[in-house]
Amino acid sequence: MSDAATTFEDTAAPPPGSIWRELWTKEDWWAVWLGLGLVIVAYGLFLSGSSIAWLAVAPAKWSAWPQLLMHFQLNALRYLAQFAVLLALFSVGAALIGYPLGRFAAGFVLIYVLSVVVFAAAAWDRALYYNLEPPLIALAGGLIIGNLLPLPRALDAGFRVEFYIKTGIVLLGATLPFTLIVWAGPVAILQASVVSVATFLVIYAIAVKLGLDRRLAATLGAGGAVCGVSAAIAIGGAVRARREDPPIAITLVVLWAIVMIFVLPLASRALSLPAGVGGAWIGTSEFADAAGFAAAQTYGGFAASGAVPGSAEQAVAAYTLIKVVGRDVWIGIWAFVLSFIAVTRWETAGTGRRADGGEIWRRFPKFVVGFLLASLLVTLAVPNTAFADYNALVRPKLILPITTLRTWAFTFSFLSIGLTTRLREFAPSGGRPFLAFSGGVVVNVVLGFIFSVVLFGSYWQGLAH
Amino acid sequence: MSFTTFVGAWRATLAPPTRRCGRCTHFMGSASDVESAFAGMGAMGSAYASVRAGDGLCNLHSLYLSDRAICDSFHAASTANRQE
Repeated sequence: MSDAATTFEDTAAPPPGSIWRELWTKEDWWAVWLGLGLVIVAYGLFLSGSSIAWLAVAPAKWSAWPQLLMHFQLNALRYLAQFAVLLALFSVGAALIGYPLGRFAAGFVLIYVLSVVVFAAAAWDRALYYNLEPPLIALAGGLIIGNLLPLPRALDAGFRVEFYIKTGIVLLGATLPFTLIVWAGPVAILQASVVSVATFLVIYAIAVKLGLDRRLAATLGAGGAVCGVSAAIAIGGAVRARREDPPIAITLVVLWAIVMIFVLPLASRALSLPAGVGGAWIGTSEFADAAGFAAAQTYGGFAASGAVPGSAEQAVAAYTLIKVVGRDVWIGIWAFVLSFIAVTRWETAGTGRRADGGEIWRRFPKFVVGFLLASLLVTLAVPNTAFADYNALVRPKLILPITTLRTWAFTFSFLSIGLTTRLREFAPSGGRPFLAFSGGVVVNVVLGFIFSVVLFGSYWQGLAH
Repeated sequence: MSFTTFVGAWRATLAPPTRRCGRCTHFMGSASDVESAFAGMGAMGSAYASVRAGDGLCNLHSLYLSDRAICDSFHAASTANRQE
């Protein structure tokens, strides 16, 4: 018996506490700690008569340059404090997750500075006239900078799309009543499940018909039907895909997701869909969380400007219910089922594993726990508040500042999407995978429209009204 | 069967096999390695996310698979080089 085998046999059991390591080494859990931490601090300050609003600074509406400059002069200390606090919080998480800390901090500095520019541009009183919605500015700006300017690659460590968007989603939870999630959740799950299963089956069937490997077909299907890149890598691992399969799915998901960031909000606006209906369609037919929030927030901006009926929060709420509650949380079940099928029917020569139910929790997107807890915390913390008190106290001192911090986190994510989407570096998808995935996109968009507009239109229109 | 025995047997079914990919010298399972191998992954995904669990790359079979998979070609990594 070799020394290596002896070493292995002597230490066969996992080291004590290794199952708990995930709590400080996974992005999802750090989104929970940071997001919930901010919510708890915000609530504590609210209870003491103060507010986190001082830290949740953002440019106010302006029409002339001197106004904007005056705003930054008067609030310089607030911006410095906000930058320092966010840098410190994200850096602690980054260090324990395992990002290279120095490079993360350097990348975060750039992200923050660009975010200030995005916020300032969006606050221009002519921004709406030119459809300069913050997510679109961030995405387009990031794409231009990332693809045309020679940024040092070391800065990539700070462009953590998923880390920022998950933290933002936990903060979003604090602004959604838990009763809304319970009430609307079943409808969101029904709509999302039907469309997801149909989309997966279409992509899988077309892919297999075109002669593609079943494991690639499943990886493509999950990417298009469940939750984008996250689903593609989860299912790829669950079905023991070939090494070259996940990059193909990643390429197709990212490219189509970027297209949908622009197409879905603009199509919804052309049809004058109410905010909640547009948000539901985006939640059903977008692929990745970050891309979907960019589209939903854009549509919310259209609603806020009066271009479409409804409120900005309705668009984001409907999107979140469909995408996070209706699709994201089920990835573990998809992985378990497809793993079972792969093990029993697509056995890869030389490797094997039994499918086990532990997949469901291991792959569960833990940030959803934070989202639900944040919602429950705030819902329980401000019960039975009179409408006048809610508008005069709770909303400006607790809810709006959390919403502002959430928007900062989302903007970090949207910028990061653009900065990390280097078109030259994506793996070529090939014609057949493109056809299979695109077939699913068509079905997904059409079914998403039917469910969101025709079947449940009045439901989503009245969401959180 | 006592309750304790039942719980022990149930936990044994959940325990990952000892001779598994995550402990093999051919397995590359660190998040940074996976992100480096999959171009564009960071644009809308992350290898540091819960959904990846412990998945990684088998350099012997050119597969992307769970660290809990098993294989006849298993070769134990040294403790210092283990990915887990």
